[in-house]
Amino acid sequence: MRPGLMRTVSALGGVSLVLVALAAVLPPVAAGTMLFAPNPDGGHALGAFFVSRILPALRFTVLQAVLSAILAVLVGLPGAFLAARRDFPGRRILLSLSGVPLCVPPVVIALSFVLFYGRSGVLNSVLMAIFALDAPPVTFLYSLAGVVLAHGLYNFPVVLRTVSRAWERLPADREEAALLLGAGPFRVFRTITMPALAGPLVSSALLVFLYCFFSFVIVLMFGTIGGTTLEVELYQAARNVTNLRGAALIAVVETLCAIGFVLLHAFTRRYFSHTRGMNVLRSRKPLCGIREIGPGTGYLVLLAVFFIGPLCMIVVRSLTVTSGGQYTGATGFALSGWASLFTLPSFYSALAATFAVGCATAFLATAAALAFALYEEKRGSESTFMRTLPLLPLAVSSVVLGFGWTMLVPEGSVAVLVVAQAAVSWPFAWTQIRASLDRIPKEIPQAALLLSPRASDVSFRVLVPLARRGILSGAGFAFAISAGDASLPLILSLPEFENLALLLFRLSGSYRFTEASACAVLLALITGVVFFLQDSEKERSS
Amino acid sequence: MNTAGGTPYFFVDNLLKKWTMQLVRVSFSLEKGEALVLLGRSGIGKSTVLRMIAGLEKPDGGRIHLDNVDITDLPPGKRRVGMVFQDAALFPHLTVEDNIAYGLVSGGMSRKESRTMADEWLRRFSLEGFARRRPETLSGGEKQRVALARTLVVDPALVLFDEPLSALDAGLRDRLRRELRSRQQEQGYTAVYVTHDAADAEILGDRILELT
Repeated sequence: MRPGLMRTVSALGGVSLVLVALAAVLPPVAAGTMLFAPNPDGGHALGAFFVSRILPALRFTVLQAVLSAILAVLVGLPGAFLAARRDFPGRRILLSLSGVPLCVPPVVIALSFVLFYGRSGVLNSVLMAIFALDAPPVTFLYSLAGVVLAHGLYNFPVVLRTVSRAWERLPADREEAALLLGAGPFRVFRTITMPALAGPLVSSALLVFLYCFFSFVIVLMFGTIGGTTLEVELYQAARNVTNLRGAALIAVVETLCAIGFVLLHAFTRRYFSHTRGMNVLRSRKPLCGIREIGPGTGYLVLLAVFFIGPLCMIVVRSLTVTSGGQYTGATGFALSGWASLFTLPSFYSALAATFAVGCATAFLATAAALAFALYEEKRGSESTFMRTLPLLPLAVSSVVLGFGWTMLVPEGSVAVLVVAQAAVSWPFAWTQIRASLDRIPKEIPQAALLLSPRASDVSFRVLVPLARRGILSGAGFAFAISAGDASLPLILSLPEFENLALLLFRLSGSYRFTEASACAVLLALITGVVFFLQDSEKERSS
Repeated sequence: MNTAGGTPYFFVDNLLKKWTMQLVRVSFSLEKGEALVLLGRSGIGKSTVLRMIAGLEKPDGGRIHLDNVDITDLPPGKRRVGMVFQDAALFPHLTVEDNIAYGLVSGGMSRKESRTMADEWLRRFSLEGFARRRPETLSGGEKQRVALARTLVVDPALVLFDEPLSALDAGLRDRLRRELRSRQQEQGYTAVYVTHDAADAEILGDRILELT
């Protein structure tokens, strides 16, 4: 690459970085500024609004996020043990579930839970048939329990993957030493294994907490009066033009809380990195004895029924036709749902918008993430501040971004959507690129530096080619996040704009579940491809 | 051989690096074509001295002069200093030929010319037939030869070797240290080696500086 071209590409990366940083920073700043705007007649008093709306929403947000994180840990920990320490058929499928929270959009999960756990869902139909009941016995979906179940099951693979990666590298000698000193298996687990896994466990639980803290679509669909999160409260307040200062206050409170959680998460990630010495993979034993086979099989069956089941229901539902009303009439196999989806006037424009906005977002987020990662490499330090900075956009939710940008650019535009989605996906793209760069032995760029009069030469001729899989993986993640995002398009309310996620949300909202399921399958297929891309990258690297 | 005016060709003057519990301070000089070995136990700071000379680490004090130029504050790529790393540090995404040509292209040479020159150096190092191979297919000794060719092809004023033999088995190690010595004497490059092995030091250097 010629020096002139390198300079141009570097400048483009720098511009992308500035754009993405502004896209993340400006909305909360705009919200903060609005708090100091004069209170118009008829506006709400902020103090009263804080007590009556924000505090209950904050309480509910934290409560559901804590319970969801606990559920994710309870479901994820046995899975982590099985995946890390035991060999059994289906182990790779169990591990591949970790792609679900990142690549299956929340709107798809919400639909799958409605189809499976809803009043007219499969679970109730089966239970009513088996026990000859007149009324559906499972009625918790539209409540705190429903929100927690959806969040916990949606996110447990985060805990499973993170903890199992540490567990499979935990040196055997520590546990063996404890056993030789007379400790029983439970005492070994409590005193040796758990302390060693505390870092990844807390780190992943905090990440789940953060995802649930910001949950929007699932709460919008399952939440009840008095049971909404700050995200939903902000969405509703932002739609009321007389209460924009109240909305701004929610945005500020939410962002400040989230910054604290992101910093806590960054701290635990740092802690996790200190346990990197655990590099040797331990051999796995097959499940043996009734004490292992029984609970192990039971766990896997429960997971298959209650987690994979709802996801499969979407596929089944997309291929099912019902006559005589939702779920209650006779059902049969048909492709009419797909046919109906493909003949929707808005389908092809939504498909095109999904790809166009997804590609633009992926390009912008990846360029910005790469520019930052290369700057870090050039700077050569691994300070906590520099490693935390790229994670800070995680503290600005989609709804806060959408609200802030609506204030800044009231008429909205697709360009705003792209930069806002790039801000959301930037931390994920950066994490992928950073991981790739971290795998390059430090002597390689140093050798290049001694042979190159310009630092950019090292970046473009050595670091970028060596990190190319991470870069592609980061772009894939950014694309998947954009394609599956219904929140930002919904809040920005762009005229005549609809992507597949928003189309799916609207189809579900109008109870057109067959077309919605077909749309969800299509969307999950599009976004799911990136998981296999990034997973195969990790397999190759390891 | 002294350069004009009696200044040594290469000298470090009170080069200092401080850590919390330890420091390393060295002063030494070399004439052109001479080979010096820095010998000392692990962790004493030998590699840090090399990295400061190469510009990969900032010293806490002292100056470095090479061929009448104070290079202390120059970036690594502008010091005319080459370095052979312990694990060769070949670029895994490039062929052997492109590894050797890397520094030539960075210096502005056309790709075609740089490849011709790289092929010439492959011949000098008896590595004909390796041009299109990837580094991961080479043995430890072959990797070190390619790393040395990559370093020498750009005609550095000084070549640094950071434990170049420690990753090799005993037989190969003995063969390669003799080869390194004879190449240094034939081609006359100025070299600083770092090792913790006294046998390596005996063969590789004209002089030995023991760090304690």
